[in-house]
Amino acid sequence: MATEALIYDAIRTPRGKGKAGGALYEVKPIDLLTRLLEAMKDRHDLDTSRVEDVIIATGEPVDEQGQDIAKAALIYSSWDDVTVGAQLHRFCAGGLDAVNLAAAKVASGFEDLVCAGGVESMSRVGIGASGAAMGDPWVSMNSHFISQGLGADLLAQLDGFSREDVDRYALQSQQRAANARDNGYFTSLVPVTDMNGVTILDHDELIRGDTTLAALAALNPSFQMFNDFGHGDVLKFKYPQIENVSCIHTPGNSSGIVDGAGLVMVGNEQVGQDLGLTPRARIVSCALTGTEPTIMLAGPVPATQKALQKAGLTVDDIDLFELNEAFAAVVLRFQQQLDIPDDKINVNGGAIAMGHPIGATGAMIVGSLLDELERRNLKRGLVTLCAGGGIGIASIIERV
Amino acid sequence: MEYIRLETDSDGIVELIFDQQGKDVNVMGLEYEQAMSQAVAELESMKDRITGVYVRSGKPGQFFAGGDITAMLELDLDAGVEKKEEMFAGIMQTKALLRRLETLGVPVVCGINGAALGGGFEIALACHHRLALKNVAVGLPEAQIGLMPGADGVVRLVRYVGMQEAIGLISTGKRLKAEAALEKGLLHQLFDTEEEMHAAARAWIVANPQARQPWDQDGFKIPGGSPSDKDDQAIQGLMFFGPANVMTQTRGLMPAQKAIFAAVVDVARVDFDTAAKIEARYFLSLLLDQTARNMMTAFFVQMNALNKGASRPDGYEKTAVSKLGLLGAGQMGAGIAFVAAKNGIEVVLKDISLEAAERGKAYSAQVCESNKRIDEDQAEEILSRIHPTADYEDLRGCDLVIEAVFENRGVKATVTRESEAVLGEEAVFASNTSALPITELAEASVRRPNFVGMHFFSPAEKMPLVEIIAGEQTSDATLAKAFDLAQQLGKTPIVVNDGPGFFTSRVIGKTIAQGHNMLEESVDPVLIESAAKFNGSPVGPLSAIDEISQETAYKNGLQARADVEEQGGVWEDNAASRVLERMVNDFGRKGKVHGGGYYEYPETGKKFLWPGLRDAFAAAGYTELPYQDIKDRLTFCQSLEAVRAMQEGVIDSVGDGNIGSIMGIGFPAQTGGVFQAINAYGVKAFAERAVELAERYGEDFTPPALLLEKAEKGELFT
Repeated sequence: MATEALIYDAIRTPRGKGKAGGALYEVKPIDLLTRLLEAMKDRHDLDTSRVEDVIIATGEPVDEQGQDIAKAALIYSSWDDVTVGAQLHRFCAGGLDAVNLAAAKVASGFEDLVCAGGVESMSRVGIGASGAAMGDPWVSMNSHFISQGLGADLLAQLDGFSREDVDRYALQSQQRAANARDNGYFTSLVPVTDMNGVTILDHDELIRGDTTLAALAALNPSFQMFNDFGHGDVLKFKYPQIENVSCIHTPGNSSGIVDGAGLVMVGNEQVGQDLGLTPRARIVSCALTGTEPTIMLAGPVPATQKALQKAGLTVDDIDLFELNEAFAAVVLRFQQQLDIPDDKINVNGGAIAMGHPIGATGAMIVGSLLDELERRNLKRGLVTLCAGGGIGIASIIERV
Repeated sequence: MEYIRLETDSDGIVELIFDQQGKDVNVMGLEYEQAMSQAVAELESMKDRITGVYVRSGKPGQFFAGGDITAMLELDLDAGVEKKEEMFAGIMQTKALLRRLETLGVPVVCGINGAALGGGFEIALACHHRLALKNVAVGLPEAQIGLMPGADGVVRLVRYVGMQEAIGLISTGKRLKAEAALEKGLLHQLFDTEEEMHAAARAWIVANPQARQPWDQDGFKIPGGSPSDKDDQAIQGLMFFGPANVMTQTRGLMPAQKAIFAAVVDVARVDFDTAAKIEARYFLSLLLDQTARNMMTAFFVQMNALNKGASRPDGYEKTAVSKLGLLGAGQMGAGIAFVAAKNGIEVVLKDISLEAAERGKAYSAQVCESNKRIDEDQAEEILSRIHPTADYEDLRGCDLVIEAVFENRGVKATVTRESEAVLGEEAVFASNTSALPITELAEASVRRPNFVGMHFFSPAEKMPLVEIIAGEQTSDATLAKAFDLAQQLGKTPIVVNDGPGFFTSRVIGKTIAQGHNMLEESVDPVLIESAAKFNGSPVGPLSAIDEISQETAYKNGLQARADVEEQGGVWEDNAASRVLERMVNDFGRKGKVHGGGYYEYPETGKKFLWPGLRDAFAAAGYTELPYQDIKDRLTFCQSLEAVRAMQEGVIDSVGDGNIGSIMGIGFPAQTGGVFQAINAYGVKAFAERAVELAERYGEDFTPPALLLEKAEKGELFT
């Protein structure tokens, strides 16, 4: 029964600034998602009754994104009633995890065709809107919880990255993203339109390609307050060698707050033949792993190693890497530890330039990676993200 | 009924009077449980016939002391689940009695005629209206001995004053004067006499037949907001940063503070009866917690014994000093002078010149100014009791003289002789030294039985401990007088015998030495300091030296060396003396007051370790040691030295050792002190770990015979 999990398509909306005044602020999260469902159907003249499940991640499954936004969007859309949907939460790893789950369903033979992705309207449903199990005082005291951003600062300090290092990386992300946008490299981007078909947003809104190192250097650290209000001492339970964390992450070298959605269609070979779909890639391997939760952001390296090991591959077998730019230090650490050259990772920028719509990002960057593999006519790519609680996730895809 | 009397008057008001037989104060234990259970049942049976209940104490000036700690200390920490279930049910039963009382359907008033702390205040909180005599103390001080309220004190306080205030009051165990409690709404009216209070209680009952607790009324909301108020920034901020604050303040070593914070939030999320169960679960976890056990042992049992004079020689009338002499008006002498004057003692403050003595008095003036609780009139009164002089003659008539001059035998001998020349036969002469042997200093005295050591800690106006040292010839009468003076000064006295470094200095000396050993071994100084702090020490060994100053420590070392050599001994240098010499002479890093020592002190921002330490002591890179070893080296050396001191007869009382180590030299409080730390670790396990450390880090960790003997016999340090 086991079969290959093929990616038949991977699309995303553009990312709008995630605050009042952002282009997608007027758009409900369910509309972001439904827009992609309709686009997926239109792009392939898809018989949606063949899609068995839609798994959608979101970081704040509450209010407008509450309960099961996947099934709600399906009902609201023109899709067939037979397709079911589920909401998924794995912090920032959710979007990719949804894709991996779809792949697992297909590869196991349990299902033939599944869509997966994520949606996040950070402008309308802010960070923390759904509360947090970790936020319970007893839980947080017993878990040595600290602000994630301070974890990034700690990571940078342990690895020896300076403010200039992280700013320099941020500048590169902006320049690469601007270049990719201006040259139309994001071929799987689906503009967001209104009920009349009028375009609301057709490009990533946050990119600042003209920023400079000086401008980045002028920004204040974002997580100093957390450091000073106790988290700087809490981390010493785990890292006693740290006397004082130097706070270097700013809005300029951390991922931006944005709205957006991504959707990936995964199926077996047979269903593709039945429906006349052309596979764009196959999913070679997936990995999830947990790492030390106080620093929280060290997951991508071991997750990548695990995915490579499961696929019987090495770092050198990967043509392009897509690591979510949660914070600049996360990428620098990844490059340092796995010896990844600059020209193989995040070649079209990432969340520092374009933003990180929490639950959606993992699915969105599968599409970005695939677009670039196709453009360069390369074979293999690896997508990875760090996520809350120390989670690391990775997937390897290969064009077919 | 032995414990509780119910007396009904013609108005139908029932007085519920606590008067536990055979006890000075009422306590909440098994007898209370039984009596209260009967009393509440009886009240319920007559509730339709009565107007209200007035809860008070039958003991004049004594309301209710709280939980029965002696009984708590007998609980088996390793209780099985069945036993725990039984205990949980017991806690719930105690709570239910107060809940039944407050929901009886008639007004319940409480009259507090003396301290109402812990369980006593929890009873009061269950009453609809609380009256008290002026000046009585109320509060929930359980946290100070590692516990928390367990009779719905948390549940009710949160509902009276809100989460934020409840956390502050309960986690610090703050005792409130009645006046302050009135301001917070925890008391409703204060009185001068019990009669007035009783009359007001009756009047209130008659006037308020519909009285109910706020939380039993429709639409009740917790003041200041509850955890579900997502938009309340103060509440959300408290819940987000509060836990980090608890962990930072306690280094995660104080289960009570953790439990209290969590319980306050948890009980605010649910209704009263559910909240009661939640509080009980946290309370039970603390009852069976080793840290609570350590703290109850040290801060309740041993502290009470100490305060009652367990180490004071028996058979001597309590004395009071009315005129105190102080020799040396430096920071120590001046600090003691201030404390004495503040406690109503006339002080003769003598130094070699009147100017120097005046400067000492000026120090007192400064202390008064920086103390918010001392107003101008009080300051004037305090200062008027301090008489600066350069003349020994002025010491005439002093009951006791404390010398706080330079740590030099010659100087100390001179001032001893000069003072004794004008002092009466009965006067006590006390030497405030931190290290010089009292027996030897006493050789300068013509009245050696009257010669004693009184080791104050700096700054004397703040540090709570006095270490009293008996020289070989010190009389019991003299010891008793020194003990009484310490108490008169509001200090906690411990009594030890003579020996190098007495007790506290020799014990703290070991951890300072370990800090320097590790520095010399190229251990990362950040780890040394972190280890100390996460052991629960207020400061690390390197910070401690910065405060004293490297220069002072270095000079003390030279002085000690000179002293040894003068006595015909051979001085052996050590890591501390070598490191200090380099710090002072090679690097010019002479201490915090001199601009920097092991730490840098930037004008703005936090101090940080001097980056030069790496080149100086770890040029070839840091030595990797297991972090637990670094932590253990800093505390084990102290406990082991304490056992050696006991073995050598320097200290007899485990309690004095525990209290002295915590209050005098900052030994981690959650351990219950240097000796209790061994009990808590397990005496045998402690000895085994010591052997392991001795193999790796030298003979400071070799377990002394007394420890091995206790380990062998399975005995605790008690």
